[in-house]
Amino acid sequence: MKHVVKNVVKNVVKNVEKQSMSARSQLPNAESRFPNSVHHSMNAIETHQLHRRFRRTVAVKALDLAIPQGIIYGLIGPDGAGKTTTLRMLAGVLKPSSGQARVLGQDVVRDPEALRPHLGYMPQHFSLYGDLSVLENLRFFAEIYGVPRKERAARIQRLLRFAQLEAFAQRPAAKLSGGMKKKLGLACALVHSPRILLLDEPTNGVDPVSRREFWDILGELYLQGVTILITTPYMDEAERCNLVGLMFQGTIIQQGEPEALRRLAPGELLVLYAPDLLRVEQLLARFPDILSLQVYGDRLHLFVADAQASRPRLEAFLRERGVAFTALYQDEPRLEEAFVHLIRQAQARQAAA
Amino acid sequence: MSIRRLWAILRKEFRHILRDRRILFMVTVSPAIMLMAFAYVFSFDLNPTRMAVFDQDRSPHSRQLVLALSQDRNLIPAGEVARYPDLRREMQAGRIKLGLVIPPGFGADLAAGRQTQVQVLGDGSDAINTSTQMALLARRIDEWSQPFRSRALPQPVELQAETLYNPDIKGRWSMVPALLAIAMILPSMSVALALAREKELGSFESLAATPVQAPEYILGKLAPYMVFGVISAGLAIAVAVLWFRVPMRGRYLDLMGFTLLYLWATLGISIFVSSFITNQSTALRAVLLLFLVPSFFLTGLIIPIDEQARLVAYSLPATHYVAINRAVFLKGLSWGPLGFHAFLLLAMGLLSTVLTVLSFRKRVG
Repeated sequence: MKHVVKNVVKNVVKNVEKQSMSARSQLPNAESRFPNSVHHSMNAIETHQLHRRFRRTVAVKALDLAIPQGIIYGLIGPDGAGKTTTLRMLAGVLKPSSGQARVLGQDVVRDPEALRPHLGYMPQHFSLYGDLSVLENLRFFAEIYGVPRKERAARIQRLLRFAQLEAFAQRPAAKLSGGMKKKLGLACALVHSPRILLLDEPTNGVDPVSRREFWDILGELYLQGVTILITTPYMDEAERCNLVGLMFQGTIIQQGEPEALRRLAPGELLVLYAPDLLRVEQLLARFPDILSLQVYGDRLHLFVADAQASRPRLEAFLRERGVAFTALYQDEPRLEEAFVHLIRQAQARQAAA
Repeated sequence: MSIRRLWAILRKEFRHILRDRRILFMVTVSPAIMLMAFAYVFSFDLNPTRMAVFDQDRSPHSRQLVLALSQDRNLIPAGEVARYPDLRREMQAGRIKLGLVIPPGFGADLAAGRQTQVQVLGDGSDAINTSTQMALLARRIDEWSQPFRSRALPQPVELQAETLYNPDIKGRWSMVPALLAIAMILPSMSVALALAREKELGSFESLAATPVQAPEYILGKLAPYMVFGVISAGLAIAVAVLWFRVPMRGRYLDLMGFTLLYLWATLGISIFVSSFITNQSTALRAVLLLFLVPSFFLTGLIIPIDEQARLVAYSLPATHYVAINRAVFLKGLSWGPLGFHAFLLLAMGLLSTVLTVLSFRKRVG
């Protein structure tokens, strides 16, 4: 069994490499690493061997990023993967331990100030002034960023409309709903019309409708040519990005278009609905075809090398043991399954080493 | 440095203060309230104290003296002892705090117009009360001996202590102006909390990513607390003068000038320290440890400045403000004689502000 898994893993890894190569090649310059490349003006964000240690733990490790201008780049990964640390370093509010980082061609390690007028940064936690009203928060950031007095009122009005906060302009920010707070945070980060946006889990803990509205706003910014780097725990959001980087233990272990990443799931997917999932899960440990197994609430996601061949065998296997199941069908793997698989794989590799 | 950004920070900071009732309370009336509370706790007005007498003379003069002293409301006569060691034993047992020793020949000396002596023993374990009591006792003996005074004998009974400016040793007169130094620590506590709060709530992270510069941020924090510091100092001074009836022998304008320097020094140091701190409870503890605790014990507020700790004492802003306040209120002194203290306060304010601006980093973690 172990042997089989190993072989399959090898194959999958090979496939991954091929697929991600092709995915990357579709995006200009996504591959370039700036110390070697002379023309890096196309990339909005470039890092080279970026490291950040906190005492004994290494939060970001040998990170090489190359994000082309004008795209939405989604940074995903488990908690503690180093996403927030990466964004903080790129925003110039955290000094890297070593390595280089350029945003819009500016060296943010040496001189973060030069980038500030062009950067919009939205930290993970609500970071505005709760005792100031929506309007006062926007005005404060407009003044700090030096938005010309003549343009200020019009621009703030536009942002209020944009974020659908017009009716709440006088309300203290602390008294807004979670979704409205996030939209105000975004509006404040946009008040100076930045060319690049760094958003750290901007929709975390927000209801689905507000999330959708938030992404509508990001869509418009994308059309205006703003480069957006966003971290998110939601895979449906990751699928909306042009390019997704999967971060694990401080570095990108996989990068590609969502479509390409989705295909990195281990083999083909069979979805199994059964009343007694726990028992089924235990039994399936003795079923040889399965490469990987993930539990999703009321169903099991089983990965097999060949779904067509495994399905009848699995049905027979379960009937023999008198296990009831309500449905068993093949489905397209989603980004989430690929994500879980890739992280498990990385963890296993680490445990082995 | 941009005036526009400084102005934005200033307005924001004033709004924070005016909209949070707790902060507003802390930077306006609470120093006056703190002054009142502490003035009652630390007034050290005399507690009536038990005194025993060892009269070796047993002359009419010595009895007169003992009788005169027993009239004083502050002294409770605790009888006579027959031997000197008894006096010590009584004190050791805590039954008396004061002992008066009248030497043989006391009456004869006075009658002959010669100088004589008395010895006063005080219980050192109750330093503050006893020392004032001893000084008071010395004054009473001096008063009693006036009839024996002549040109040839200016001090018939030799005394050890002398008190100036506050002849009745009103603890409150000397304590209230000094306690202003403690009460005016509250604005620096508030500013330290304000800096830490900004980091704790996360708004500092947003701000750090903007083009705001260190001097704008630091001055934007400092100035509003200076303004409210002056307002609250005005209220506390009013309490000192109107409620505690401390005589104001100097000029109010001088006092406000000195107060401004003290506020700058304390706020400046507070901002410098808290710029390295990321949460409110640590900031609060730092300010308490830095100002409140040493200010009570090292600045001459309660116990005189220890010679060996003079350098430490002089590096505390409160030391200078205590000295200045007592001098302005009770001695009526002004800038000339107090220039040294004023200069050191100015230096502390300037130095801490410059250091903060230079060491300030727009970073988290």
